Amino acid sequence: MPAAGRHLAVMAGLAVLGLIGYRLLTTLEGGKAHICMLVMVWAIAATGLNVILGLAGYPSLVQASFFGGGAYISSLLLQHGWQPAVAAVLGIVLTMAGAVLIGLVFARTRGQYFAIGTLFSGAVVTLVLINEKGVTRGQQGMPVGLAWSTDLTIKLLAVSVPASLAIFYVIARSHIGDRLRSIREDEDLAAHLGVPTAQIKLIALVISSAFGAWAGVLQAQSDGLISPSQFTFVKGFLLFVAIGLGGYGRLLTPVIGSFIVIGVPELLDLGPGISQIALGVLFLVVTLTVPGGLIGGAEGVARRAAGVIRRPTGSDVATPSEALT
Amino acid sequence: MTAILEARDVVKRFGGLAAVDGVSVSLDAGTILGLIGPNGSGKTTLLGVLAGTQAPTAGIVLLNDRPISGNGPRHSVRAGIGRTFQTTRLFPTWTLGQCMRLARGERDKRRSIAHFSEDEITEALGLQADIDRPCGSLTSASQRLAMIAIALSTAPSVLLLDEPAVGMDSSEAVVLADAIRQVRTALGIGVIVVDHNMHFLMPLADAVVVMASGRILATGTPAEVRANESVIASYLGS
Repeated sequence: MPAAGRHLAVMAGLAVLGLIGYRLLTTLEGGKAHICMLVMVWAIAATGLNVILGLAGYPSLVQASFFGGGAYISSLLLQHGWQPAVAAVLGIVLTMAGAVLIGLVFARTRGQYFAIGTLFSGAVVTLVLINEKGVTRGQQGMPVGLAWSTDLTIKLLAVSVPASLAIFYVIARSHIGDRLRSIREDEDLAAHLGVPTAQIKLIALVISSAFGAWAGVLQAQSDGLISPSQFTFVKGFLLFVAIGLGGYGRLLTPVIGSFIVIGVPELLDLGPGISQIALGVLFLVVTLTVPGGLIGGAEGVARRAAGVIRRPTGSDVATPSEALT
Repeated sequence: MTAILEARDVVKRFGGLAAVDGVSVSLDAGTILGLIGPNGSGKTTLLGVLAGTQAPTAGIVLLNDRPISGNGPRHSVRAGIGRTFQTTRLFPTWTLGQCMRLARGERDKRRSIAHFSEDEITEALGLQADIDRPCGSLTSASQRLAMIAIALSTAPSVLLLDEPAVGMDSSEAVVLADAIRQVRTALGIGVIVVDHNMHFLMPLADAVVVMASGRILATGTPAEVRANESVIASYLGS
């Protein structure tokens, strides 16, 4: 399929995905609608992580804090009488500013040092949310003034999931997408080809924070109550697991991954302990047996099945851009 | 001739070990300099300092009389230093063309320097058939050439090649030597080649620097170096 046709098909597919989401949110009842909403919110936050972790291979463990940043900042601004749209935009912009600070410190680090640095940053955010009781009401959580009608929140969610994925699709195919993938392949070599690796990692972290913060705004508006426990590093790990399960850097990973880490445990009504152990085992099994994640694995099966019918040609090697879908 | 690349009193220490211990080298534009010496003599470390891979502990590296050392590899490559590595380093899932286009896209656009187009690079190196193949699927000799192709895509004024002929048979090494000469002549760039294969290096190099224990043991034309008694004793053998 020519590139333009392929792009159109992907965009059309994402639009259908948004319509399905809208349909589910408006027809499901009670708990199931809530689970669907959670999966969609998480898919947006995970899309951000899919940029830095999926494309660049950098394990950012601060994503849940960006999620919380958007939720808390927008809610606090609403509480102080700011316009809903302004509160939402500032929630994103200020969270991105926080990401710039974290990035300036840790974008020069690598591997486990980056993971520890972002984990530490997330822990600081959680401590502030818990202990600044005068502002955040601590562990007991904070009621959120609803800025929009439920209907508008649902529409925003239904649009935001495909829009986020579409933005990811564009980023992955842009010059910055190539630079991010070059860092994942071999950061030293990338630097020797002239890629500004620290700068690109910083940009990726800030992009990921924008997705996280917007997800946080929607989470607060959907739930009407936010608490620090929704945004702890455990949630950051769950986002990480979501990306690993779906497949690093693939377009639909955030949706599939969020459904597995959030949707399935809630639907099966597993307690947090059991679901985390089950997810941990699943993550290990997938990582060890299907390195491309569940989407990559499914693609491999489909390719093999197709190969039985049509004789394999020499073009079955996935190029980087093919491996993205 | 004017020196395009100059290292002055470069020292590189790793803890107590001086891998490079006060080395001064200069490279003229349009010449090929062979860098030889026993394992552990500091050749690769010196190449790393010249390429910006490592910052020197002391001393300075000048490219066109401007200091470039200590600012990291990106700064050096954009200033005009392309390098390859001793072990094969490529993006295995990327095609050669994708790697070359990434490198070309990162060039400093303000710097104008004679350079080869993608087609000219692949033609010089005999890689035309490999341009759309994933780097990981190329033969080991083609992978060595692919590293050079990618380094050339950065439009270097100086090309640093770390054991480019390793793993190549003699006919492949001849193709490589011809390609290096062609690039040097066509673009007028300076080339430093580290290699242990004297059959490959000696006919190729205009001048040779011999290192031992982090210092320069001898410098001269290939014939002079081959006749140097201390070089024969410490490295070449009789």
